[in-house]
Amino acid sequence: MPNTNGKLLRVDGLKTYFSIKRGLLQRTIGHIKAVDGISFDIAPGQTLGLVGESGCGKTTAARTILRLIPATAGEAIFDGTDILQADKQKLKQIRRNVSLIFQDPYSSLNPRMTVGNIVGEALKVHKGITGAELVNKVKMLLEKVGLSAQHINRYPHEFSGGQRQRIGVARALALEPKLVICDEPVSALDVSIQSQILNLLKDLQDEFGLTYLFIAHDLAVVKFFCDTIAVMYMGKIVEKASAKQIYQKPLHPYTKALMAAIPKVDPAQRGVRKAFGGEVPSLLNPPTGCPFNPRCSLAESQCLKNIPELTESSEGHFVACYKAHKKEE
Amino acid sequence: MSDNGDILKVNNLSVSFFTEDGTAKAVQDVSFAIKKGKTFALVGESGCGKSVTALSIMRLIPTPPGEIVNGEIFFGPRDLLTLNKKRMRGIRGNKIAMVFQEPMTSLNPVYTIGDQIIEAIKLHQTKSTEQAWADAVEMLRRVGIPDPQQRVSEYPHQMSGGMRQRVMIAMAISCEPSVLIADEPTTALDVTIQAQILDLLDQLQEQNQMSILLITHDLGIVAERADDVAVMYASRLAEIADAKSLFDDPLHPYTQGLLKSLPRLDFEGKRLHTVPGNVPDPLHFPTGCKFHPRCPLGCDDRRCQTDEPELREVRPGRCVACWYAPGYGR
Repeated sequence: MPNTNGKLLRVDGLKTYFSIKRGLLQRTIGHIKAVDGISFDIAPGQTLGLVGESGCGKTTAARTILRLIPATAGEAIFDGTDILQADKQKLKQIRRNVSLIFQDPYSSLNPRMTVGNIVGEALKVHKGITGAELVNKVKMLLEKVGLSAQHINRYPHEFSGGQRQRIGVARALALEPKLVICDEPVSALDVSIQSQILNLLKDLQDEFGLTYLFIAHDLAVVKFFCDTIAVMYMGKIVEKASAKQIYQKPLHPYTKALMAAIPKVDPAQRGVRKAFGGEVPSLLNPPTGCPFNPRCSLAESQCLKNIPELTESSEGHFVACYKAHKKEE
Repeated sequence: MSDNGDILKVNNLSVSFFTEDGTAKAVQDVSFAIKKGKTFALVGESGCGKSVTALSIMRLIPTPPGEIVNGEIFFGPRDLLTLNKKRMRGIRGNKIAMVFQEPMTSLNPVYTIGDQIIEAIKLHQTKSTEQAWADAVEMLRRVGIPDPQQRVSEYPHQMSGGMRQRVMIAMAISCEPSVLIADEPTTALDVTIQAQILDLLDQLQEQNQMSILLITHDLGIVAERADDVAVMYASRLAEIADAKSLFDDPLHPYTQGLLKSLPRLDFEGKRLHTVPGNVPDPLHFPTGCKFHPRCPLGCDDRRCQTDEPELREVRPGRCVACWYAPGYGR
């Protein structure tokens, strides 16, 4: 396999800018930097969690990697090929190996298609499988994700949210992909169903050696699920480390704040959590310097002027914050 | 009927929706009481009837197809369900106010924030527009909106999600209600903003001695904020307890399963505990105890399959509806 240092996916300096057009002539007057130079890689069989609040660019990053949105700069090397430069034929080949699980199991399944058609469509398009073989394959997939083979002729509305998400998982697995991008796969589900889907994804990973890019906003879910975690804020990765490192010793003030904001499921710890002020600034009008400085209690003069680079603080633990490094020294 | 500091008392509430596909018994035989100045949380998954319970208290159930088929809701000495429309209007939004889940869709996009806040003030109080407008500015200041003087004449689209939820809260507290019903007030918000909104509710509760009925699916929020908790499953209450007892010693297998299946920051295992099966559909509830098909204790028990357990007090302050609960009596 022509691989880059044994990594299945290597994203380097990825940028996605949307231009802001104004006036009669629709002149471009500026850019929204939705994804602003992010880099990460995932080894086969591993899970990388991309975490952040709404609007931080995590979904845009995933869509750019799949070329559903054109990239402005950077590269995304999958299995030795740059997805962002691939021609039509190559792209089709890549898409066979990269699939997507969506957040909302209600809007991501076509209500007019049967479960069999939803799950089998990719098999028909990419592999030309038809007839009895297709039916068998789809039935097998349905059973793999915990549904019954008898469900094949039903429509999505006949299923509950959790079951629909299982259909989405079966669809994503149909082509035996190497990489599965999960975009908030459980955030629209009920609490008692979330753990079912998370366990299912884990089991499938063990069985098929899948690699996941897992996008989420819930740090507790991500901790359970991921090997490596990258925290995004306003289009940039502000901290990246193994799950263990990040939870034991978060370095960036934003990561700390995110973690502190999670309610503890224990009334005895009431009042421990500290709220932190401010909101995510508009991408139309970003602050100068470190994007986090308006909400940061540690910010000093250089944070207001310069944008900190993502640099290694201890082995494998990267952080983009002037103050975090200082403390280390 | 208003005894020992209960400000709102719901007795045997049942609500049904008569649809083309059949009758959905959305709420069945629900009883609980909210204490003055305290937070009562109603927890449950989607479709369990928690929002319908809230809407019944506000008398906002769309009729038809919905109908409150049984029950009483005592607010002080009055049963809200027997009030005529005019008297109910005097209470709704005035003494009992509500904050909805979706700050994006609950505000009217064509009116300014100020116009929407003074609507409630002018309806319930005899104030001039100028006075009401000044009140609106004051309310926005109290919910922590910067530059309230200027923001009051802005439109909802000019604000972020967190700001809009603050506006919704400002609107709800503008008549100083004694009960605030908050229906998933932070579900649509990011975690850092969620924490801010919950702190704001705490602060307002302390200032106004207001009772809060907090409706949520998030047990983390319940653990942090609630004084008393009712767990709802498939149209009925499964368990009522004070927050500490509920988390230390859950009695109903559903509560136990939910608490165990949460991914927590301090969780180290490889697999999460799961509650098997799916949340039942209100049109096709199982017979007997509605939780029995998913229950580790009762799935093979004849009694659980046929007889529905009612909510009983098994020890002081602890009510549960499960044949297997200690002290329940079979």
